Amino acid sequence: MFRISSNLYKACIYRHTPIRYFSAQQPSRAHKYMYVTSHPDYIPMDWKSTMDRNAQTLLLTELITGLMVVIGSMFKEPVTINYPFEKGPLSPRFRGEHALRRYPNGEERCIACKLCEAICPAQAITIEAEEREDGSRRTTRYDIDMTKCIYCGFCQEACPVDAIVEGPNFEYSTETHEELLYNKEKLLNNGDRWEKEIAANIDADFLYR
Amino acid sequence: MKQEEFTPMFMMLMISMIFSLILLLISTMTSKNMPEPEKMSVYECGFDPLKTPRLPFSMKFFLMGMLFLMFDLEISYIFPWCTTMKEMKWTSFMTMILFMMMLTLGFMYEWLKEGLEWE
Amino acid sequence: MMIKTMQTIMTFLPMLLTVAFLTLMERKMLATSQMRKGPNIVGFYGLLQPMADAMKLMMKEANKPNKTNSLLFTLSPMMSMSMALTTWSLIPLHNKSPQSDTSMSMIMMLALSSLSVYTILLTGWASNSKYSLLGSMRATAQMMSYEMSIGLMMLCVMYLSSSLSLSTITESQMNIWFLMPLFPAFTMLLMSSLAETNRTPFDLTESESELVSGFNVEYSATLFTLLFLAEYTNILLMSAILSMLFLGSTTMNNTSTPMMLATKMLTITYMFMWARATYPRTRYDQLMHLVWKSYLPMSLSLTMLIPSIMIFFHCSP
Repeated sequence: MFRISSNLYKACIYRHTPIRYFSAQQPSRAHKYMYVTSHPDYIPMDWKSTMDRNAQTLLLTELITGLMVVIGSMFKEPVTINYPFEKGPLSPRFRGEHALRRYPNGEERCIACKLCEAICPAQAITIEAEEREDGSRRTTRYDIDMTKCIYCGFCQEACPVDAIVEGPNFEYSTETHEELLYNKEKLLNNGDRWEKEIAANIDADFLYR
Repeated sequence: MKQEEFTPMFMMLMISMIFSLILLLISTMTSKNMPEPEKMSVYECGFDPLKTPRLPFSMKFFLMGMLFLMFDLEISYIFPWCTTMKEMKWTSFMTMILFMMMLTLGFMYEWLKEGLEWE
Repeated sequence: MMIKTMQTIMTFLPMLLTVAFLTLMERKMLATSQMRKGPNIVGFYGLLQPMADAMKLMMKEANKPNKTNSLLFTLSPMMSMSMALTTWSLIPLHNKSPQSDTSMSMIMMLALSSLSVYTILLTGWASNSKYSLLGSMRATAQMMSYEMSIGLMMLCVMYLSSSLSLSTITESQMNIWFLMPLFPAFTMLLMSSLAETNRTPFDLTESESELVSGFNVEYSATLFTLLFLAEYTNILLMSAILSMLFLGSTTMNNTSTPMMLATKMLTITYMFMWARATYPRTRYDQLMHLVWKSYLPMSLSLTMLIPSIMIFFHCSP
C-alpha cells in the first residue's frame, strides 16, 4: 500500500517519466528506451520554456513555419530549363561521344600506337594495325564499344597525337545495341562532324593537359 | 429504408461499378497480355519468394481492432444524445457524462497498463 | 426518379474529371513549391497530362501475379472506387439538397469510410506478397484509428447543429461558420483527414523507401488507376466534408452560392498538397501514439466540454 501511494506521489512530481500508478511492483526499465534528449535533466522546466513548448504543441508553431517556407518558395522563379530548346552549360573538358581527329591537311592522326587500348579500364577499344600502301603505320580496325566505355577520358589523355578525343556530344542514343558498337568509320565521321567544336575545346584547355 | 432517400446512392454505386468494369474491359482489349514466369512471380526485391506469404497474425493489430470497436461503439452511443441534447438538457447530460466517465476510466487504465504502446 | 438518375450521372462525370485534374494540380503544385515547373509539355501548360496518363495506364499490361485470388484482386480496387464515389452522393452540392437526401448523412458517411478500410485490407491480402500484406495491415490500423478521431470531431459539430444531415448543418452555418467556435476541432479533423486518406505526413503505406509502394505493389494498369483515383476522390471527399462541417459550405454572412463551396474545397485540397510538400513522414509508432494518446483524449474531452458549455450558458444555435 505504501509503495502504491509512493508511486502516486512520484507520479505527481516526475510527470515526464512513466510510472506504474496502481501496481506495487518495481518498474522494470529493461524493455523501455530512454531518450536522452527528453530526459528530465535536459529539458528546461522554467516558466518561459514550458509556455513555449506548450504553445508549440497547441498552436503548431513549427509546423506553420514550415508551411510558410514552402509557400514562400512557390513565388520564386522556377529553375527549369526548356530542354530541347535550351540546354545547360557545358565545360570544354566535358567527355561525351568519342571521335577520331585528322590533321588539317586531311591525314588521320591515329598512328596505331595502341596506348589507348592499353589504358582503357573497361577494355572497350579494339585495335588492329597494318602498314598502309604508302608505308605509314595506320589502323585497319579501331572499334570502341560505347556500351563498355566508362567515359573516363584516359584514352584522350594517353593519346600522343590527340587522335582519339571525347567530344561534347551526348545526344546519340540509338534503338538497337549494335549501333552503339562504333567502328573506325563511324569514329572518323564523328570527328569530321564535330571537329570545329573539338578543336575549340582543345584550344581552351590545352594549357592544363 | 425509404426509397427516395437511398435510391440515388444505390444508383451511384451501380454507376461506379459499371464504370470500373468498362475501364477493365478497355484495358483487357487494348493491352498486350504476355504472361511470363518472371513477371508473374511476386515482388521480393529480386529474390524468389522465400516462404509462404501469409504472415502469422500479429496480436497488436487485433488489440487495436478491439479498442477501435469499443470506442466506435461509444461514439455511436453518443450520436443520438448529441442530436437530442437541446430538448432534455440536464438529464441527458448527467447520464452521458456518467457513461463517458466509465469509458474514460477504462481508457486511462489501458493507457497506464501500456496497452497503447508500440503500435 | 428520372430526375434523380440524371442528377446522379451529372455528379458522376464531373467528379471523374475533377479527380483527373486533381492529379495534375498536385503535380504542378508540388513542383511550384520546389521551384520547378510541373508537367507542361502535353497540352497547353500541361492540361492534357491526365488524359495522357489515363491512356497510358489503360494500355499497360495487367499482369496478375500467380496464386492470387483473382476475384478479390480485381474486386477490391473497384470497391474502393465505388465507396469513394458513393459517398459523394450524400453531399449537398447546391440548393442544400444532396442527391440522396437522408436525415442521417453523417452516419452514412462514416459507414462508407469504414467500408473503404475493408478494401485496403483486401488489396493487401489478395496480392500474394508478404510486403503488401504488411503494408495493408499497417494501413488498415492507421485508417481505423483515425476514423475514430474523425467520428468524434464530427460529433462536436453535431452538438452545435443538433442534426445529422449535412444540409441542416449547412443551413445552421448561415450566420457564423463552425470554424470560429470549434477551431481546435477543425485542426484535428484536418490532420485526421490527412491520416485517413493515407497522405503525407502519414503515408507510410505508399512510402517508396520502406515498402515499395506498399499494399499496391502488385497492381498495374487499370486496377492501379482505380486505386489511385479512389485515393484522390477520398481527398476531395474529405475536403468537402471539412468545408461543410467547419467552413460553411456555400454560405457566408447569409448569402448562399455553390461557387463558395468550390472555393473552400479547393482551399482545403490545396492545404492537403501543401502539407505533402512540406512535411517528412512520421514513424509508424509516432502515428499511432498521435491518435491514441493525443487525439483521442483531446477529442473526448472536447465532446465533453462542448455540451457542458452549451448547457451551462444556455446557448443553442
